Amino acid sequence: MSETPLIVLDRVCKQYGTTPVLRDCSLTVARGEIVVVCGPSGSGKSTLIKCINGLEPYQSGSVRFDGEEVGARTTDLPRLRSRIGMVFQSFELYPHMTALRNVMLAQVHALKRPRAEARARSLDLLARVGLADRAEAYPADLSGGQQQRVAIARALALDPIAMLFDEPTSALDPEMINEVLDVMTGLARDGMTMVVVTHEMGFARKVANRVVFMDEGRIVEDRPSEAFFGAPVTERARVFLSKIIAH
Amino acid sequence: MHYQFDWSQVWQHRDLIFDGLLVTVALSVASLVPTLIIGMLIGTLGASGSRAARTAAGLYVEGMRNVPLLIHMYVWYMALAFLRLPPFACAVLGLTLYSSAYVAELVRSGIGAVPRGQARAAAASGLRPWQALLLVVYPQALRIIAPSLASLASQLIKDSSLASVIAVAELSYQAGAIEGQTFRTFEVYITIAVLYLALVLLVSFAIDRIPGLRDAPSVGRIADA
Repeated sequence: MSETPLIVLDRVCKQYGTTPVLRDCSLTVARGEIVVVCGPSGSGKSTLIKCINGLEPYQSGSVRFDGEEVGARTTDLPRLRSRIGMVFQSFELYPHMTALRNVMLAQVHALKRPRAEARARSLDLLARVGLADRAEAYPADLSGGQQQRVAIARALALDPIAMLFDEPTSALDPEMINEVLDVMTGLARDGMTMVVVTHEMGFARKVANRVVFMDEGRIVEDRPSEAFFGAPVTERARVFLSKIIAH
Repeated sequence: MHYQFDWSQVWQHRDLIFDGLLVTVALSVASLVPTLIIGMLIGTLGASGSRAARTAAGLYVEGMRNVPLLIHMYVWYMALAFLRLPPFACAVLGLTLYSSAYVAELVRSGIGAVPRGQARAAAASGLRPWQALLLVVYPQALRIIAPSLASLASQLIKDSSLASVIAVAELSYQAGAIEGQTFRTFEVYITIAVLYLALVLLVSFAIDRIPGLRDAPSVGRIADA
């Protein structure tokens, strides 16, 4: 394991027009670390993790991934992104392709892997997320939980060195949440570096090394998860936790 | 009404009608191909993030489709007279410019109907913008606009009749010529009406059977997913 942290955000600021979305956000994620980002809606969590792979531009500050400045003009963003897996709240599987082709697409066209190899790798990954028998199914024929697991397989197919999860279970029925969290827990156990935006505090408590709490575009707490759940320092985090854990 | 139908006159001129039919088919095909290509390009510009590209696409669309096709025919025929282009080429140009504006609007709305998250997911997986467009956005957009594209193709076939005004010897032009010789107005025009109808039906039938367009797995997505 290398000494340099994999992801470094340094005083990142972003605004839409005059509305600030991120204010001076600094965050460091070491290799193999699992960081959960939580906070009320509109606090900038999704925007923050989308800065890591350059899906969201930012106005000032710096984002470095594996030593490379994400916002620099000279950065080959597609190449950088092919080393980061991303999973979205709304799955975003390609509806005109089977599960298998969804997982194959970026391997063939971004990584230039030979088709046969990409196919074999995809089938392995679909088996890993428990969907070996659904390879030929179209997204519309899969349940939400199955779609999200295909999306995770699709992200893993790039052999990423980090995974970003943007509220991966928020669009799921309660009984499907666990099948997705189980896959994520398995990944965490295998040592994947993960940044997860989620309200699943059970998952955060069990799996995360650190919890980052955001409010109004600021990172207001960033602490080891036991310490965070034991006693949040800020009043805002305490109120937030009591609200989402109460029921 | 004591009109006596006499179809023998039409039958006598069947070779002219057949020639006209061939020219109509050739004119339609020669116009449809560049219409689709230009329409795709302009429509894609119209859906792009760049304001300059959108403005340019908008100017093209408004400029081309708000001029009657008849005027397009005359303008290109007269304006390009110094090039001594054959009338057929001028008709292809007029039809292409006019119809491609409609295709551009279809393509633009089709791209707009594909959720933005799709291109975003493609970008996140390391695909380059042109790959995301080609592999993820176009296939979905085309399925959405396929029925409208099919009706545009039949519109173009019918519109090709206006090429008769610049002396392209297509079906309507030949009908006029035969009518002028035989005065069998009804017979001649009923005949070519049936031929146009058959041609358009044939095209619709063929487009309906393009694999992947009708049996496409629902592209419509779960709205709140």
